[in-house]
Amino acid sequence: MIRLALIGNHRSEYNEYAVSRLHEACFVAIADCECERATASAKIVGASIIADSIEELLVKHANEFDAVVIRNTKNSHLVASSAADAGKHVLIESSLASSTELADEVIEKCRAANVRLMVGHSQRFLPAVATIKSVLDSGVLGAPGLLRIHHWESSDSNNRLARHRVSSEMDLAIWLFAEPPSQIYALVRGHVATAVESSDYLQVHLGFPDGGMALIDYAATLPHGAGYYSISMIGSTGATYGDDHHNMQLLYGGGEPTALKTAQGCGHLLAQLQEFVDSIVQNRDPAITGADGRLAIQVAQAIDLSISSGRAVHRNGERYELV
Amino acid sequence: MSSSNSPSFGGHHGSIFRCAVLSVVKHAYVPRGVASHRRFELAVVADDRSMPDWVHERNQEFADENNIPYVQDVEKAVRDFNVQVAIVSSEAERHCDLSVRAANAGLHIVQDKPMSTKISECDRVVDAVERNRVKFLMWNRNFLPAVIHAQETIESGAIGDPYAIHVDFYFSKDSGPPKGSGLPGDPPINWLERQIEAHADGSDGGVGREPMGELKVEGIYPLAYIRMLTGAEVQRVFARTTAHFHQANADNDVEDLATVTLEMERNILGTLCIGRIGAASHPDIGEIKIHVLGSKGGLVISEARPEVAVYYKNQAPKENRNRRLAIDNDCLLMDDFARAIDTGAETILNARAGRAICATVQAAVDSARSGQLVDVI
Repeated sequence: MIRLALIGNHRSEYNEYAVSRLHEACFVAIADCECERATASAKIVGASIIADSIEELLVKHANEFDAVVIRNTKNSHLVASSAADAGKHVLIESSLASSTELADEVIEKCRAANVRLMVGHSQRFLPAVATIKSVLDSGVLGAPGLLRIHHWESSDSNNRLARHRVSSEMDLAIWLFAEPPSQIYALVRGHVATAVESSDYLQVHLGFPDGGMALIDYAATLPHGAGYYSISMIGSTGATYGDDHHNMQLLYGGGEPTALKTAQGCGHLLAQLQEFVDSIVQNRDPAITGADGRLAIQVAQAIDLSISSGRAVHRNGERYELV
Repeated sequence: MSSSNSPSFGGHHGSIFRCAVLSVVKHAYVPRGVASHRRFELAVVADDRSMPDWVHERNQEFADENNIPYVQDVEKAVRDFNVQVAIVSSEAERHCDLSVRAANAGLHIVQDKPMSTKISECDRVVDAVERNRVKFLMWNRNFLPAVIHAQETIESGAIGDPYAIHVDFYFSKDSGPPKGSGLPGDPPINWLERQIEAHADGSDGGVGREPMGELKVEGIYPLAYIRMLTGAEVQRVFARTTAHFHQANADNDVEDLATVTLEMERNILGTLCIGRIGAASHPDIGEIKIHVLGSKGGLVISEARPEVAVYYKNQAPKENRNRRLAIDNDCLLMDDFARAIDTGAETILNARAGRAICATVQAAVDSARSGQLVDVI
């Protein structure tokens, strides 16, 4: 049984559903600087140990857990490194790090400690996305040609445009095309020189070596309420469409009807967690490795370069450069 | 009824406009669309005598269907048949030449898309139309119910000021053998022959000697949506193109799939994804969506709606399962055209707008070839 410690703000992510369906693992500890939130999370997942930091956890309870699940913490790469140093397997649900250099540090720490490192790009486990990947891998769609994603959130969402959001979308594109993009052009709303983190709208245009391409627009400008997500993959012999527009129900309450978004549930978070556990139990690489996480960060950095320069960026060997 | 061939601004409202169909070699949706309006009457089909036999055959066929004469002399037909309007539906490379000749003869013009394969030709049309003070309508789909709905919603202020617009425009049609299906040593597919063959199923929008990718063949439709919904000109583009689906496109080095980043006036950003993605890739004619983001919200529009689903035993695999409803695009376009002639107003997509769209398309093609951003000139 793998004993899991949740590090950071996990409130509302894992619930009784996740707890009851997780195989060969259990939640034993919560480390969260907000006491009330930590207590609430512990109650939900059945954890008996509550601490306010990874440091406290390692000092007082080092032998009582085997792996950490890190989310939404500042300097998460430092948390991951500390955990690896202590021989704990690591699932890091936010972006692996803020730079490829820091990502390399985490990857090396985990390698040296011989612990599993999984990067949590949970979008891969969403039912719609997993279905698209499965169909693509079956070959019936032929060669992937065009990935189109529209991802809109409200301006008060917890996921305001930030590097981790960008790197998650890039991870998806790289995963579906099975290679990094060879060409990147990106724009943000307003000013060319604005950095990704301070913008609420991002548009990324990717080219892949065999002619494939992707266009992703991300916005955090919707009014308070639900967001919108649409993903389609056009292949040479078929296509798949996973679209909120198609998956709406209607509510008639007077006036024009309201569209009610159907939900994909939280099974994707459980699936990601289970994959992490299975990789530990089966002593194999997880589905999303440190190298995968690093590549997504590298592409996100290339996006920054494109935005700040107002030019397209091309991949030259293992690096991205302005042309 | 107007009896002269001079421009009839401020003409008698309600008068009938007699039309000369100057070549109709593609599927004849443009002249049929024009004729669906009670103020427009097809009078004659005309073309140059020097055209090849297949062109004459198609022209004659359309003339016979409509019980009107076919004259192998454009200028003679214009002189003899008392027409006020020219409907140009030839191969793309002849669009502008016929439009210029029609304008110089004082005819108002309805022209099929694309405007041209060359910007210089578009410039000739703009010059001829403005110099002769005739009206020009670039055929488009801006009056589809969903597009009108999008415009009304945006104009109501429901999403605030638009700052980003995205059109995903995929036609699920085949275009000959799939890419990679040929045998080693096979000669390249001849573009014109392929397009002539495609006439049978109406997918010959690229008919002509000059190969055209999807940006040139169909790009006007989504770019016209973007133009109408934002009122903004495209200033710079970044594009990627590829021949992903069809051997004919690969053999003739023209794309059947393209993505374009659009940088527009007023800092509006946009994208266009366009492709002829194959009949297997959608249950209907294709996935066509408009997404608009504004200062107060967002809008997602399916261009196909409203529609009704139809399924039955032994239904042909290529028959659309969803049928579009309440389409009045043709009549509304001709209402717009008639109003322009009557009042001197501009049409919804005039020659300058057509030229701007052509320039955007050319910039996208150039960007894809060079890998660089390209200004729209």
